[in-house]
Amino acid sequence: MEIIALIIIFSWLVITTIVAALAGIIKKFSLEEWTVASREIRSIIMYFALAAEIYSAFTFLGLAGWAFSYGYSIYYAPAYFTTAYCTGFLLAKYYWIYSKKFGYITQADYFADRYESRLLGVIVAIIGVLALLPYIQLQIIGVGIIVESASYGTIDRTTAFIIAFLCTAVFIFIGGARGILWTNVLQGILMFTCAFIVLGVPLIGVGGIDRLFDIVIREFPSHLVPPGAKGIHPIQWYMSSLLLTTLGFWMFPHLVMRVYAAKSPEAPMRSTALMPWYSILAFPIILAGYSALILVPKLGVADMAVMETIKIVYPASIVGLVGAGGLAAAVSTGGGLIQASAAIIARNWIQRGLWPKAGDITTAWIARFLTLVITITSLLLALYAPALLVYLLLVAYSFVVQFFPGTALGYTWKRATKAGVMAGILVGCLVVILTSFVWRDPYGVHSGIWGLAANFATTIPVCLITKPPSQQVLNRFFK
Amino acid sequence: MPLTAERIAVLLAAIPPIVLILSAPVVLYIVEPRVLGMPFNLFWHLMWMVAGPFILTVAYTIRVREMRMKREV
Repeated sequence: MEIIALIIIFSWLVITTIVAALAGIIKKFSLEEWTVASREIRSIIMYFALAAEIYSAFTFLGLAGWAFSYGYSIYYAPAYFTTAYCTGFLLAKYYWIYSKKFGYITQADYFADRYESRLLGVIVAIIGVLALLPYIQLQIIGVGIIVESASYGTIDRTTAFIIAFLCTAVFIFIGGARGILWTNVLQGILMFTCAFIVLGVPLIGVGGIDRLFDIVIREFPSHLVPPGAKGIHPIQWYMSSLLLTTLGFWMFPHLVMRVYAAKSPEAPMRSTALMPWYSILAFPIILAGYSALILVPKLGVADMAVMETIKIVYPASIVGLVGAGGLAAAVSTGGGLIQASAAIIARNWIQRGLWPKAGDITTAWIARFLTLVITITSLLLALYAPALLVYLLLVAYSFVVQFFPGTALGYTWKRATKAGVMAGILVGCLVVILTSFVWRDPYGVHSGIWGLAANFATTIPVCLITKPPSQQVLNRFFK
Repeated sequence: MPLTAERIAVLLAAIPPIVLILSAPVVLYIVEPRVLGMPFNLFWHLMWMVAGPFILTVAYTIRVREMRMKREV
C-alpha cells in the first residue's frame, strides 16, 4: 500500500517540475522575466501563487504539532492569517506602483533608490537573505518528514528531501519566477483540497468536533486558554507575536518580489484582500492537532500529528494525496525562497554591490547558477549541520520586521532619511539579538517588538536631525 | 485632515488587527459558549477569517475607484 502513496507523491513532483520548466521555456530569458515574470501575472494566478508560497511545511506540520504540544497559543496563526493580509493589502499598492515606475526587482532595490544609498540596499539584502536561509532549511526538513511518513517509511527523509529539492532547483533554474508562479497555482489548489481531507480526522477519527472538544475540555483544559499547555505562552506573548507578524509578514523579501510580478496593482490588492478565506485551511489542521491528543496521545514528535492521525483514518491512497499536499506546501515555499535569495544576491550583493558593471543578462545568469549553489548549500546544511541555522531561525522574523519603518515611512514621510533608516535597522537588529539571546523576550513580549520599538525610537529622531532627502527623490516619490 | 479614499481604506484595513490584538486579553479566556462545536476563542478566529475579506473588499473597492479616477484624470 505504501507503493500507491509513493506513486502519488512522486508523480506530483514530476508534474510540477515539468509545468515549471515549460512555463520558463516559453518566455525569452531576461533578468526581469526570471525574477518577476516580466510583471505579467494576473489576479487568479497571483492569488494561488501567493497562497502556495505563504502556506508552507509549517502549515501542514507545525500548526497541528503546536496545537498538540502547546494548545491555545497556535491561535496566533489563524489570527495573523487575517491581520497580516490587512497590512499586505495596504502595502501592495505602494510596492507595485514604485516597482513598476522605477524598475525594482527586489525589496533592496527600493531601499537603495528611495534612500539614495547602495550601502543601505546591500544591508537590507544581506539581512533579507539571512532571514530566508533558515526557512529554506525548514522546508527541506519538512519535505523529509512528510514523504517519510506518507510512504510508511519506505523512503527515508534524507533521500526524500534530496530528490525533492534537486527537482525544485531544476525547475527554478529553468522556470524562474514564472515557473514558480505557475506551479504554485497547482500546489495551492492541492494544498487547499488536502487540508479539507484532514478535516476527516476530527470528524471520522474522533466522532465530530463537538466530541473532540468535549474530551479536550475535560482532559486537557490547559490546552484551550493562556498560558497554554506548557504554561510558557502568556497573553502578552500572543499579542506581541500577532503584532510582530502583522507588521513583519510583508517585509519578507520573497513576498515583496511576488507583488512586483503582478500585471496591475489591483492583482495583489485583490489577492491579499481575499486571502483569509484561503487561510481557513488552517482550521482542519489545528483540529487534527487537537485530535492527536486523543488518537495518538503518546506521539513522540509533535510535528507528525497530521500524518499519524490521517494514517489512522484514511487508506494509503488518501495518505499519499495528503503527503503530496504537504510536499507541495514545502516545495512551493522552498522554491520561492531559493529563487528570491538567488535574485537578491545576484542583484544587490553583486550587480549593485561588488560588480556594478555586470549587465542584466549576466546578472540573470548569475542568479540562475546561484539557485543551484543555494539549494546544494541548504541541503548540505540540512544534512550535516541542522542546528547551525536554529539561532538564525530564532531571530529571522524579528530581523525582517526591522524593515517596516524604512518601508512605511519611505512611502509616507518626506523627512525619512538614509541615516535615520540605516541607524534604525542596525539598532533594531542589535536589540533583537540582545532580547533573543541575552534577556529573552522581556516581560513575555516578543523580541521583534522590542527591536521594532527601538528602531522607531532611533529612526524618527535621526531623520529629523539629518540632512533631508534630495529634491529629486522627493519629486519622484511624492509628486 | 480630510477623509480621503486612501485614509478610509487604511481605517477599514486597521479594524481586524486592532480588534484581534486588543480583544485578546478577554476573548482568549472564553471557552464557553461553544460555537459549531468549537470553543468560543477558536471560533472567534474563524469568524474573523470569514469577516476580514468582506472588510478588505470594501476597502479595495473604495481604493480602486479612486485609483481609476486618478488614472482617467
